[in-house]
Amino acid sequence: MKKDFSLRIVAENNFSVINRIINIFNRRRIRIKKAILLEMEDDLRRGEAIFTLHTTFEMLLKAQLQIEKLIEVEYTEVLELSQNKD
Amino acid sequence: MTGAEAVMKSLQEEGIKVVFGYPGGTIMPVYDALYDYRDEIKHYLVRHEQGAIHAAQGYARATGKVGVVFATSGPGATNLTTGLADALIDSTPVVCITGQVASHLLGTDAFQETDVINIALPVTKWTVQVTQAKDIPGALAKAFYIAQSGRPGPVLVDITKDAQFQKLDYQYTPCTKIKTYHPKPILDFKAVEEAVKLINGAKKPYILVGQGVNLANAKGELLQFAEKTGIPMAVTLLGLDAVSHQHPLYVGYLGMHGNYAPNIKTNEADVILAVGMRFDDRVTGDVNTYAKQAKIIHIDIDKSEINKIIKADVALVADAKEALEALAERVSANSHQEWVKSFDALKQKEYDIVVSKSCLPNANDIITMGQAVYELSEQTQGNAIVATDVGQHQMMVSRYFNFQNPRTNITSGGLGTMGFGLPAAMGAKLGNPDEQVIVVAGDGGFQMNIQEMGTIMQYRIPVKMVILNNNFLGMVRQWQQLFFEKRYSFTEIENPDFVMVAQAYKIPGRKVASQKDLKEAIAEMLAAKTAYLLEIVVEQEENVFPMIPTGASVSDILLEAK
Repeated sequence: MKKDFSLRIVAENNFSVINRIINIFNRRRIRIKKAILLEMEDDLRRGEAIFTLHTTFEMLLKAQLQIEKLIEVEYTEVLELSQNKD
Repeated sequence: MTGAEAVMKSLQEEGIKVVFGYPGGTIMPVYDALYDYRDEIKHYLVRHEQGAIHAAQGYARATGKVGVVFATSGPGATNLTTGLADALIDSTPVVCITGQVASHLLGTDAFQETDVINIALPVTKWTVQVTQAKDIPGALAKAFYIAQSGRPGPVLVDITKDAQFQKLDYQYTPCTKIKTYHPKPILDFKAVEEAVKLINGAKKPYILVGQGVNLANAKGELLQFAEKTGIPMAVTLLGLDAVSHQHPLYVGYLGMHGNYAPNIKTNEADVILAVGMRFDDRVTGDVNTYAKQAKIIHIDIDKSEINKIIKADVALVADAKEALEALAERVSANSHQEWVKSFDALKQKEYDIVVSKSCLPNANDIITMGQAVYELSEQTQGNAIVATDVGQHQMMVSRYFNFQNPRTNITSGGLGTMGFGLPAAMGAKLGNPDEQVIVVAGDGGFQMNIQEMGTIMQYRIPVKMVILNNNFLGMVRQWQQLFFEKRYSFTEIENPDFVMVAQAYKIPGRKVASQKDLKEAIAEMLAAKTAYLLEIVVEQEENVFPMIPTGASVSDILLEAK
């Protein structure tokens, strides 16, 4: 069953990693409901992305693992589960 | 020194002695610097950048070292895309260095400018664009570290022309660590204990061996484990050379055109130990009917492969060498003779229905692909590096060539790139000058990078080229015959005189069409001290069996057409 999930990603602050992350969602046909991208104020070399995704938990985990594999990604966390579902 | 000289120095620091490339406008400073290093770093001028990257792949696959490519910007860089995708899916360490327009021209649609970084994003492990000379050593150090660590893969470093000209105070520090990158997982010994428990209690255990065993140089540990436990081993396409085919516990090749017994027995095993393999769809067939009865222990260095296709009961995210060593220390010595023997009856059935017809001489004197490959295997005793292209011939080589040693099976697995074979063989030979290197290709695939015979000619690379010529794009024709009512839509191909083409490249060759000439022709080719092209005319509508039809279970593998 598809639900909304929030996935937070902390990574190096560059366009390539943002594009790679989006590509992963795209390949898995994961719907992006919202995307917040920001530079870390205390360290501009690092950035943070919070995506609200609409997908199954299983697919979210698979995408999370692929994102964690990216060289520039420091860590990821699933922030919350919302009640929004198909 | 200049940024271009820094590229040379950095390559030297990484121990690079071989580069495949093709010059152009935006990489000219690098080529100018290379001129002063041409004795230390041997550059092979290819005839197409795709040839360069496949050669680099073949070099990397056959040696375990990183393959290096130079290409210019724009079309030169985009010509690398197929090879990058191939290297990524087959986990091959390659570093591509591309020229780029000067940094003030970026984004202006300048001559030969492409956004190669973004084009390469989905087909690389990492990319970086360097716009200042001072960043070149660091970027290359990182590139080489990333390419060959963890699960290996391709990396692209794009250097603007002004960065190549700029001066810098050169200093090189090899990269040994990246804060955000953790290539070597820590072995979970709790998971090891769980795996040991399953293995010790198994009645019909089974090992599935993938390329990860070769990448980890874990053949010794694999054999130690298998021999201690008496567990039979089957291999994937890229795992074919991880185990000697003469080993008493080797039971065959898995997958769509694999051996009958190992595929059938997958759905009888009670514990499956999957080592460095990723349960690709060519191996699993229908996942809904794949090994449902078995407990799965999955060893892979890439965490994202665990549970991606097949759910693991025990996951060992680890280097295969480490994991197998730990398992071998802890498992009980055992034997499963009856279970191993149970493969024999199915093997015999496959021999009677498929192998004997495929490989033994027939009454009508037409050479079959199986015969050609079998004879090649016999004459080399499996002691050759064999590169293949993609198609029916590839499946025949995987079935009938008796690989003996690791890093001798050079084939495009995940992407299935036609045109891979010839340049890959070139690269493999340059990495292993004392080994016999043979490319087996179909008439279709051979022509996709046929221009690399020019490279072979120029550098006198003694690669042996075997073309199994049926005047068809054979694998597609087979599917059209079996699933599209024999509607051969654009699979019949008219070919040149390959021997004459080879001769134009100053490469000797011969064409055979009769079974009685096959043995002697292969012997002549193998004895040649130079490059040699042997065209073998084979049966036109031969099909590769066994076969697991698309969407079918591994248990439904067909020995012949219905």
